[in-house]
Amino acid sequence: MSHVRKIFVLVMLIIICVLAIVSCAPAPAPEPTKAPTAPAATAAPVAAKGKLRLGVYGQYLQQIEFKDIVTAYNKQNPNVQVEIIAIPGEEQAWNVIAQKIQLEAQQKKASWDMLLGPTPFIEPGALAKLGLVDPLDTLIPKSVWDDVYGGVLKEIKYTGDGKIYTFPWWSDVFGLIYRPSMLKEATGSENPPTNWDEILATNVKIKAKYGDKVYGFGMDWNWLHRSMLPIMGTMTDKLFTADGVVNFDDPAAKQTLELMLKLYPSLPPSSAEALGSAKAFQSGALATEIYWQAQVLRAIQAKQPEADVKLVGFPKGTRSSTLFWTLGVMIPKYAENKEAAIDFMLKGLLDPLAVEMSQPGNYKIVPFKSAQKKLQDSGKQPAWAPPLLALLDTSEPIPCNQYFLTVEQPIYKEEIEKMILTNQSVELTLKNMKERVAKGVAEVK
Amino acid sequence: MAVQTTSAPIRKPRHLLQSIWRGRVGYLFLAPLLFFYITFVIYPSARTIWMMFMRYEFLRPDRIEFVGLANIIEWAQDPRVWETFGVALRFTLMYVPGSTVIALLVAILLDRVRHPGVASVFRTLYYFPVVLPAGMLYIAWQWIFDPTWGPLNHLFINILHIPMPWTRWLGDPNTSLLALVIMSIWRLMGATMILFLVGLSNIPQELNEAAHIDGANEWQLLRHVTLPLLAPIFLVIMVLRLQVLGLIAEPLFMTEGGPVRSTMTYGLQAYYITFRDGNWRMGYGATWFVMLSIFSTLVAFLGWRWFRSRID
Repeated sequence: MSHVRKIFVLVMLIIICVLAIVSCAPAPAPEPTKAPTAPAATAAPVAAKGKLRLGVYGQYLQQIEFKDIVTAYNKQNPNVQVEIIAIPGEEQAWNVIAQKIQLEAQQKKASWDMLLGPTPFIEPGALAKLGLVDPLDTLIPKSVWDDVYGGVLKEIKYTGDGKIYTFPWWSDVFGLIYRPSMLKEATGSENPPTNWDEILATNVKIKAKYGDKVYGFGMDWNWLHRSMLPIMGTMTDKLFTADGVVNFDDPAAKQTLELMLKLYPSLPPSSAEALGSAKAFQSGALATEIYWQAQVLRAIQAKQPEADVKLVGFPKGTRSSTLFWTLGVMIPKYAENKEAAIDFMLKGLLDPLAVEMSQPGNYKIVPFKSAQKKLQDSGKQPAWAPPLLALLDTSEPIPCNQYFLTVEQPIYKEEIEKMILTNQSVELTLKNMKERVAKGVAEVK
Repeated sequence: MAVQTTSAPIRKPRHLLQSIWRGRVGYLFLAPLLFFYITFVIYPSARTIWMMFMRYEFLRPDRIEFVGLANIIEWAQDPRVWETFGVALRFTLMYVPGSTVIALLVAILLDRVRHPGVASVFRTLYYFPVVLPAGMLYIAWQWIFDPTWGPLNHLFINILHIPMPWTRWLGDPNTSLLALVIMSIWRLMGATMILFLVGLSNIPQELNEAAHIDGANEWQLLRHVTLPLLAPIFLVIMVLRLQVLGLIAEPLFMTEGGPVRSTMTYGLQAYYITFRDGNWRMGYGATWFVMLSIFSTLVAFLGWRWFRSRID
């Protein structure tokens, strides 16, 4: 080896050794979780002013014009300069966003003063556990919390400490979306099926009428909160254990899986993909589906006739129920302008314009009773909303913890695929789900 | 009369520092690249190796501690290691020969095209998928593989009237991995083709002519002249394609490792351990990645030794 090369190799080795020694130093651990200091509930509110960095998940920026909401807000408070910051790739990269907030918190910084887009069963559990976001209980007046629908209020409380970390804004509620014309042709009636037995019977008629051209029923069967949970909720009021884990011991769990096996033959082949059934509905190849209300808008945007896309309450089992989730707003611990963030939440996001843009305009439910009353009184309440709102107080939400998406959902996906695609028995599927979830949750805790 | 030179004899440097000083300009030019290499390759690699010996869970920063070889022992006993490595190996064994053979055929055909303009057009067409954004391709291929509206099923069933034993592609555990292989071959074949074209352009034309004169047909020409002279290219391709053992992006975006874990590759499982499951066990996930790196390096080294012996 030449002399110069020897020197180069030697220098590289020295650098690598130095780096290895340096990197062996323990990483500066983030500050342990502790209750952030919140202003006293009785303290006089500070007038909001200054710059407000509003981080919004990219997909929501595409759905409504946030600039209009900001303009309407500034008419009430011109002293706050709102900067809208798009956060791309959030659905696939929520863990990246959590890491970003974590790393910034180590330097006592935050890129956003408020983060709009987290859903309680996704990011907030992890962020709350790490102490990276502020609880909102005492930062927002009690009267505002009293105005939130009961189920949503339960949803936004982190199971770890019972505090609220998410200001709710857009709720998605499961219902039955259907094509009246297809039902009329197949069954003789435009009326949708109202319970699971009727759905099974309708599927048979759809198949007889349309063959393989139109499928009877659609759902994301390998997503826990888009299939098993909402169905199971119509058979039991004990959807979750005290730990916030799916109650696999309840007889309704077995009944639900058995029902899903009966429903599967009527599902379109694309139902294995996320929103695969929705795509089938949007292309006119599906008669009924269980999804949240925004899928009605997607079908209309996909050029399905608006008059022929309807939404009704979720099918019944032994009880009426549904499943929902609510995206909202969080305040990072090191946000620079928390007063403006709170002000914008209360005056900007709940402004009548924002409510109209959200609900009639974008098919997203704003889960505040006063907002719903205003929509009703002004005649702008969409027809699909009342059946869904009726269940928002009584339906069981998905708990806000850090293991629903990281433990329960992946395990459910694997086991339900084995049950549906490789004929694993219902009993073994339930047993595996229960054991694996218990082990996974214990590791997380 | 002896020719006399006037240049001074070159003296070898006697001292290390003197040697560095003499090459100072070269080192200065190297410095920026070295900085980036150290910052974005050496340091993260060293850090990953360090994490391998730590209990490091992102959602439990209060539990960071040195655990020695515990992660490695757990890795060695984890049944998912062998299961997912098997998936990655099956993918590799389908993808590497498939893409290599197709790329070689296309390169040989392109090499025979006389008109440079025509050759250029086809080269561009075949290389085009390589430069397209990967995310866009994943979405496009999800539609291509769609069991109801996808053009692939439409082509076979409605146009060619070929009875298909399977139609669900990405939604069928028997065909999901094959679907990813097909997409990957289509996507990256152009890059392999370019390597073969470079190799083919380095084969002296006289050898082909001499073989023709000796009566060799096309197959004999390929087997006894072209392929042996392309051996270095095969070596490069083998080393480059070893990276598919750590495949993550395709199964992550198209199948999430399903259905029934049929596309849960080693790399994807490691990714989920690190960034999705439980408390995000970055220490344990680092173990998975480091072990894969060691294995890949070993395979690359052995393959290089074997190819080199054949080339020599």
